[in-house]
Amino acid sequence: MSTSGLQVGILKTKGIFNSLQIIFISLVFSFLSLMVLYFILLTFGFALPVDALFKYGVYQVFFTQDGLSGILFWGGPLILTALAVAIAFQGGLFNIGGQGQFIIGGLAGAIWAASIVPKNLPFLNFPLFMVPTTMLIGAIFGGIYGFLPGYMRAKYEAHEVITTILLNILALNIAQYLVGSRTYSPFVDRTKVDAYGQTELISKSATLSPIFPAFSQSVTYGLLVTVLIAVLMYFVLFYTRLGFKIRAVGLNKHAAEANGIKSDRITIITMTISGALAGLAGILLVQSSSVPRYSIGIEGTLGFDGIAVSLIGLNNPFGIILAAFFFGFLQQARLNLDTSTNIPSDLIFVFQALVVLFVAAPYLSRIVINKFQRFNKTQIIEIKEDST
Amino acid sequence: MDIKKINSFVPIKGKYSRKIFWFLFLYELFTLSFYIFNSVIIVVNGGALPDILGYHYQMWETIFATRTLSQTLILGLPIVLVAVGAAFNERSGVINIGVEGVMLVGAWGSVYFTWVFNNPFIGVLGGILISGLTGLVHAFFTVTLKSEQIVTGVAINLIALGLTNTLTTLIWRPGRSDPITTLPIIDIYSLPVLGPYIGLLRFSRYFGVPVLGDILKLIPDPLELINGHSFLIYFAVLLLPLANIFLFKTNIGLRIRSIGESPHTAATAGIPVRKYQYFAVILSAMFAGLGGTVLAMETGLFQENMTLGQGFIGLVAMIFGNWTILGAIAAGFFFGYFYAISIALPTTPGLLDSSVPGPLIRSLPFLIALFALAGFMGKTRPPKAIGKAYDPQEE
Repeated sequence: MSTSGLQVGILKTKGIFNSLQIIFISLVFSFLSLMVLYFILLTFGFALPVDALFKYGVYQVFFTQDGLSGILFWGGPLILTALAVAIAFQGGLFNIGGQGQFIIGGLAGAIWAASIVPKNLPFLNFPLFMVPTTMLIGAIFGGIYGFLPGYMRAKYEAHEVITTILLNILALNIAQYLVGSRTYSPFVDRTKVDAYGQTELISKSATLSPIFPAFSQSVTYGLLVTVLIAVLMYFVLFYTRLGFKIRAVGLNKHAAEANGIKSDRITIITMTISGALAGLAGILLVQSSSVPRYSIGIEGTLGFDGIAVSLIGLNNPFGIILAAFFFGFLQQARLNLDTSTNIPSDLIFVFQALVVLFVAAPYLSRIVINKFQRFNKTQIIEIKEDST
Repeated sequence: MDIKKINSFVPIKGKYSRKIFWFLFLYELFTLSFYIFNSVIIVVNGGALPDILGYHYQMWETIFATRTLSQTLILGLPIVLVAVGAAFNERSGVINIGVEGVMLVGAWGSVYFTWVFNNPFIGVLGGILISGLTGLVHAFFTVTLKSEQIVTGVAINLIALGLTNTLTTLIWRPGRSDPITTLPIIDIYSLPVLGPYIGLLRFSRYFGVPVLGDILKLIPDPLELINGHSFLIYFAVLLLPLANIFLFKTNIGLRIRSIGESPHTAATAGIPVRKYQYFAVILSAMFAGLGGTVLAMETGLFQENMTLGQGFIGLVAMIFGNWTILGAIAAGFFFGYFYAISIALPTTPGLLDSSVPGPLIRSLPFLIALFALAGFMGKTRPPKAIGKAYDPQEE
């Protein structure tokens, strides 16, 4: 695998206006691809009910209290998984291990708050201690899970994409081992006779309370923490020495090394922070949900969705906050479609993946922009070519 | 950890024997540590200490059982095919992380076309063609549009996962397809002319002979290993040496390899770089799709996300095999072997769950793949111009 830093086209594009144009055109392309898919399905005799799609996928999300709080609820973890991808992108790395780090973080925190403290250290079981330590445990274990591919990348030049994919699969197996079965799993829920695949409910003192109890029970202080962390990451990335080093290594590893930056160390730090963010996403989801426990499959595809969110948010924490709520809407729509209709909700996952495909192809968008300009000569915008 | 220092302690010299040593050593190390870990947890929770030696004996017995070796051919073949295919596109300078998705598409396609036409042969062809189309998409984005190859590959994985799930839900039901008619199984003992003569070589014929029989009972029978598979398995196995000849002994193969080392030099020599890259990516996708087809045909139906990381293991096997076809085949079967063990061990009676839980055993091939990537088993060298889109205006 190549050893040079990874640069997604969108990062190289100069000027926020050009980037936004590319994002917009990519979204249009993704939507058009879905339309094409719809018509292909139609010709094969699978008519998707469009009215149900709009009723449950759009109306029920935007115009009901549950839907709106769902957008905010899913936006939280998406911000964090997207930040995990974004900081790695800024450091020239592609962390697609968000899925695995999410699982490990959520699992470790849930085990800490559900089994270890209530059973072995009951004197510590009070909110002021439990809430921060549970978050911290999730972030630390996620960080360890991000440290591993970072270390392997820096020391052995093992490509982080492949190692993180392997670690994702390992994380699934670890979860299966720790909580999957009643015969061998040490932390499986033993309060019920036939429960498996989940931990016990985490201690009441470790759960997060809702911000607006009158409006929604699921929008908790976790969202506040998440947004604060996004702002913090913005300052770390753009206003601190560490952030500068991360971005320098991401832009050109060799130039950074020539200027005295230890790129190996920065790579490891970047991946560790990235993993910690994804792990924090996992544990915050556990702490905020209405049935606060880790159960297998809780991660859905949140780790992968982070990639699309990060690309659409231009790898910038503030952009990510906006993009995450858009994807939070998609996530809530997916849930609504699953519960109320028999439209396969994986279609929305396909849409998100298409966004990744098209955003990674700025060349395509540029062709479209150029065509459009030739067509409409009154407004000519200089499209800056890549300087590389 | 300095790998050179660690390697100097390995008592075996020679490139390949050292790799095999590492494989077996890590396997033993991981299983033992899992075992001890699990025993500690059982004892802490108040259970009785499980039988260490009995477990260990049973494990190695399972590892060398004929059944496991025979499973290796079937379970290893998809991995090998992906690895061989990946060698093609990486040698042409294009990374395709999307092989996992391509494999999934191939598996889905073969099941779908078999189900529609009720003919597994058309199914196999359809699966290969549809995965070739997926390869075309990857080639279009990475070669023509010069997208970041890794991001595009990841996107193709995700699209394949979502799309196959969607279509399976629409056509059959959420999660899995209907069972399909599989390919006919070939029995070499009943071949027209040669059959009876091959039958003479079966070990089981000589089990009655005093000393020889006892020895033969201990050794896995090679004929039993290769007999009784479907037509597709033999076809795929025959493709493997052809792939090696194609990439390393023909003109086209030489051109593909030269593009991966330096596309500009190749272009100067008059080779149409992009055409060859398209060709290599599509061919590789067809190989990966064939891998998926083998998987689906052996399972007899399509399941949601049925490849479960085998495509990525194929990629690792290709890297482990140092970007050569023969290396990819050897490494692929090695990984396939461990994959077969990881499936065979948890289902062995007596070994079930109590000694080492299934998920831990199942994670072994992935753990060993991680260590292989870390360079524990020797350094590898990728093609020079890999990962960068060819741009004639550069340089």
